[in-house]
Amino acid sequence: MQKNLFSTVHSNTSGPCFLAISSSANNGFDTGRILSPRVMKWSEEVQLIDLSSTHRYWAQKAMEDGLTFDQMIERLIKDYFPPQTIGVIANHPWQAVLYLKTFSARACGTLLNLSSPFGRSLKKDLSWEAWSETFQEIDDHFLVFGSKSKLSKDKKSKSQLSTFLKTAQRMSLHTPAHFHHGALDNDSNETSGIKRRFGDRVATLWDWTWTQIQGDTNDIGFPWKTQKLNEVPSVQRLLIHPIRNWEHIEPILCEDLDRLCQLRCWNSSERVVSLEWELFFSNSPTLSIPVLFRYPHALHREIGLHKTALLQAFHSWTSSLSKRLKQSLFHEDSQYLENDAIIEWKVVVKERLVIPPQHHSLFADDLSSPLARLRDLENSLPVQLSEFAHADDWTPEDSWKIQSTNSEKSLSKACSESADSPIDSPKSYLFQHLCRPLFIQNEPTPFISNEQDPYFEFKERVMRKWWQLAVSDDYVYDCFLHEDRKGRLLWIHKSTNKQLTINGVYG
Amino acid sequence: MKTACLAKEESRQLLLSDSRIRTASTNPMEVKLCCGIRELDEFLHGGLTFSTLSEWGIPFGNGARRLMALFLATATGGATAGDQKHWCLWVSARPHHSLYPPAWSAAGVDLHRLRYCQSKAPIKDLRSLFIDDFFRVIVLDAPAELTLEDCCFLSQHARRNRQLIIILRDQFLLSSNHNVWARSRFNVKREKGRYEIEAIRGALSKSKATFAIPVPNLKNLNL
Repeated sequence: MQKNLFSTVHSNTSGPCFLAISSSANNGFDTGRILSPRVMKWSEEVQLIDLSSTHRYWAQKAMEDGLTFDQMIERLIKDYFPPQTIGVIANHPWQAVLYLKTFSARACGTLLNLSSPFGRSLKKDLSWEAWSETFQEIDDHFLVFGSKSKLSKDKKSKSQLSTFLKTAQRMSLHTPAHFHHGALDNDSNETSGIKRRFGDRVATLWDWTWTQIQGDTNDIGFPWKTQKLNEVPSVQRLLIHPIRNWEHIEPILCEDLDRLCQLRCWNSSERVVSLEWELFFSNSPTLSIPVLFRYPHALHREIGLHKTALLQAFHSWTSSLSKRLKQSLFHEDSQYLENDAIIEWKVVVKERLVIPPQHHSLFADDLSSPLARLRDLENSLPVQLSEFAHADDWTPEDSWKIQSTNSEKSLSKACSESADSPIDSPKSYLFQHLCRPLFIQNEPTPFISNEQDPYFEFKERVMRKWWQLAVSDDYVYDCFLHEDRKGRLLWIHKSTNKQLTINGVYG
Repeated sequence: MKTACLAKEESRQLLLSDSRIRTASTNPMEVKLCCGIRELDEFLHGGLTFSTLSEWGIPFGNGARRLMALFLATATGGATAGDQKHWCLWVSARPHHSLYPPAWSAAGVDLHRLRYCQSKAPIKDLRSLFIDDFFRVIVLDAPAELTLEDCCFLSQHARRNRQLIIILRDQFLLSSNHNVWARSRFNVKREKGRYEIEAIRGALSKSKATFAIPVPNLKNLNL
């Protein structure tokens, strides 16, 4: 449950989230936790890192240093990992591990982003040997993963793999890309055919090889297992009197956070990504509340006050309690839940970034920097603050995005503090933006007018990306300004079949 | 005394007439935020005053919210006193509408200094932002749950942090249900392409002015 909450609430999953690192020295495993608390040991030399919980933080740091996200990760690998370490970053953990061997064989660089043009061309170089080796590696992980994934139950996977490879050889398909017609297209018929002949495991891994899947590793059935740390900081509190109100909880929780900071199993250079606050009640089951930080948080820095941690704990406590009450609304115990009091709790540092002693300066934030201040503020909020950026596109839908600092184009604009003009979009799009409204509707609604002959002021004609559409779809639509009887200035779209929809409001 | 008043008035006129100086105030303690529309800035005696809470009745869709884009353009673009660029926050309670950022950028807003969030209960959700002085201009667009106590809280922190907090309502404000914590309250109507602003509360109470919101000239943009 906590993992799902993480990926939907606190992380930016719009960029690639999985980094596979190949490192010859063993101490590479400790270093992986600089980047993220979720590190999986794939093999003796390879570790897999889930960057979803810290992606936003590294993207912002990259922006501050004038780098792209990929450049930031590459710099971290070069500075903090052993020499000869290489990495592949991808949207899917399987793809990250799979293409690591191919990238390693090429010996051309430290980090590869599979979404880049070079990464896409590398997919054509994937060999059957690399595919089958990685297949066998994941087989071992499925065995360990047990019954958590339905794919684990496939016992005949090795023989099915062998049959699959023989079939490819017999058909003279020298690489997986040859087998997959148009390696970037997701042909569902291909996968179902493979599933019928060679089994579930082969079909799923084949699908994972080519498709752009994003999401929680549990949802997609990947046998993820985070490597656990030897020591996990935690404190327990037995309350003298049961309490239920936040005014009474807050000072005691603050004391416990201080006690947590004083534990010797971790130090002040480490950064907390999430806490788990487990509440024990007098009459009802235990409630486990995740306290999540949008950016890795320096708990030791706020000793005595813990303003950020207490605010996040309060938001999580309020929402967890109300969910719990709603779930038990028709239950006969609901009245007890409302009046139930806490008798004990435990606070655990669930996930944190672990910094090796020689790298303590990594998180030495300059708190005077505006972005560092903003990160601190955002860490105490239950809602996300969005930053918008232009995208180099002519269509209204794709001409902007929520800033992920994951593209070089947005980065160059983001770094410019002293722009001559605040208008950042390319001048060729400026005219279009002037014609468009200040507010857009999240979902278009049909336009219905009581007027016999409503007046529409033509604004622009937009051509859709025809290469992404089915043959029967509209390629073009017209945009108009229309003032309705209530005096609202509406942005109306008209398709080629004369369907009118309201898509925005001119403020 | 008369001479001093005239000199003061002349200097104010001089400041207003110079289009490069976007902040015009004869009181050095009062920093103002103007929008660049001469008639409106004159009506507002230089602009909206920082350290205050301001409430606006602008029906959604009448086009007058573009004024807010112009205010934010001044704030983020470094045209206030001392060429300071301010961080601005737009809080919307609308579940079905979002900002269209390129249009705001075309209006002059620096998107890097603008943050946006959706919240029906901004005081509860964003309390720590109001207590901090990071965001100098905060706009609450059609907040659903805002009590008088909340307005008191906003007004106090606006004064303490020298912020400008603007509340936008989708209906016209009435003088009868006045928000005592808002230093200024305005209604903006649109008729035949021009806008009329009416002050409901404040030093300008019951006064009106008409203006047009300019659309940037393509020639001036050097396209």
